[in-house]
Amino acid sequence: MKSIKAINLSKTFTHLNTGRRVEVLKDINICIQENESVAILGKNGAGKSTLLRMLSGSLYPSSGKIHIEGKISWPVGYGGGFDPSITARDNIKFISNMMGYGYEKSNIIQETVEKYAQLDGKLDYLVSSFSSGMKSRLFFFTSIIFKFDFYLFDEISALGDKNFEGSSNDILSEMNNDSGLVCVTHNVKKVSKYCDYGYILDCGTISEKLPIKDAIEAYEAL
Amino acid sequence: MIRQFEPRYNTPGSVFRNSVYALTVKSLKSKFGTFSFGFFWIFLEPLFHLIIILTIFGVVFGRLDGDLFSIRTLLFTILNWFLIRDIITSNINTLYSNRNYLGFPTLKPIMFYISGYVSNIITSFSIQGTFFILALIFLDNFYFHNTWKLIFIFVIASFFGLVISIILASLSINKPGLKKLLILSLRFLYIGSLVIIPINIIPDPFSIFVLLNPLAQLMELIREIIIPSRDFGISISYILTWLAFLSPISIFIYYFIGRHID
Repeated sequence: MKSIKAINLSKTFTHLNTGRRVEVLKDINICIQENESVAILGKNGAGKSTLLRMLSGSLYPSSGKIHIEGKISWPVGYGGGFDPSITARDNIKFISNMMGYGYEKSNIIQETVEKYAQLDGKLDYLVSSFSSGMKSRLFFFTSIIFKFDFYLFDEISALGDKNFEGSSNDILSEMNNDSGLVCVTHNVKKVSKYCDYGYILDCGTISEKLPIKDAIEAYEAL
Repeated sequence: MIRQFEPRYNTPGSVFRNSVYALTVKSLKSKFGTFSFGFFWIFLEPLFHLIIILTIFGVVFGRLDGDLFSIRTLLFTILNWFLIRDIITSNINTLYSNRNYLGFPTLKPIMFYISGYVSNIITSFSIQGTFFILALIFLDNFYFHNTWKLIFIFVIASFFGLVISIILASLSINKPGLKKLLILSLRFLYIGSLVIIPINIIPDPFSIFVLLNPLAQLMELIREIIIPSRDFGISISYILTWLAFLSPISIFIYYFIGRHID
């Protein structure tokens, strides 16, 4: 059974100014089952993105354990996985290589991303010359073109401009059927559409898993 | 429905192989992809370095007597030092300059270090090969039978670069201040590693201490390969013992400190 489980997870950072250790997350316990869509809601600075990055494995917890059964994506809205100093094509090739696709298959991946991200003829431009909307589309499609068991979305509302929102909504709905989604966001409208359950993250601690309606109510009451 | 592709990794080995390959290709592409000044600089830097040293010691101090400061020995001590230096600096900096990529769950620090190592040895091998051919053509008393010995030195130097870089990068992974200090301290290691100054002009009581540094012995070994008449008791087993000692330490430090990014 595919799942993501975090047990007694804590994370401390060293404060850059004071040099003191600051506990951002304490004793976090979460469990996300196969094909389950879960939102993590909380105020700014509550530690949502930190938690998501720990789930993705790109950040180590200070204590506690994370058990992952299945393939998990990188945080999609995080947007950090692209090198702005190289072309979009080279970035796609890099990710394709990393995912185990050689030159031939990488071409198909490039074409598919170019088509869906509406970047006709722009794949050979440097990513730094892209508008924020183009970057969002590029990163979104290069991420979801690979089939993962769980997709992590950091700020689900930051996926692109209005034209793009329609197509991304359709794709998210389709993905929702055969993959798990973990969304970190402030956008309760989208969350209520795509997620079945929610966790509330407040002052470094997390609530129990709540049905999404209750989770949104609890979040709005914060 | 958008066409999706299954990630083709099922074992940790395939994840490692794919990621190191992707990072190496990206690194080489950003280095050689555009025909810029940076491309020429990797060939010009050792030449400029050589010219400056020959000017200082040869013209100013009049010590260019063929044995102490000769082009053929300086060229290969400098090139091998650059190999070690480049592996160390690129690996210390890699996680800071590639922060963008830390979002990918499959990428671990060791993959950045190995790919930095591979891309640097590919670059350095091309440079050393080019200069080796130029030395064969233009320099007197530079023999082809040195090839295998210099390749052996190249391999040993690269391994030293790798183990030292893993240790230093792991120790400074969450400490940007320490990272800068370590990069600065490479200048002292450069002086203490006999890259320019051969052991025979260092006064006796100090030369014993200098030769405790395995990199100093490695640079002297290069001089002994190119000028076989030199004999300062350089021991290859001493150099290899240091390498064998540092390798498990680098694994240990990486495992307990270097894997955890704040």
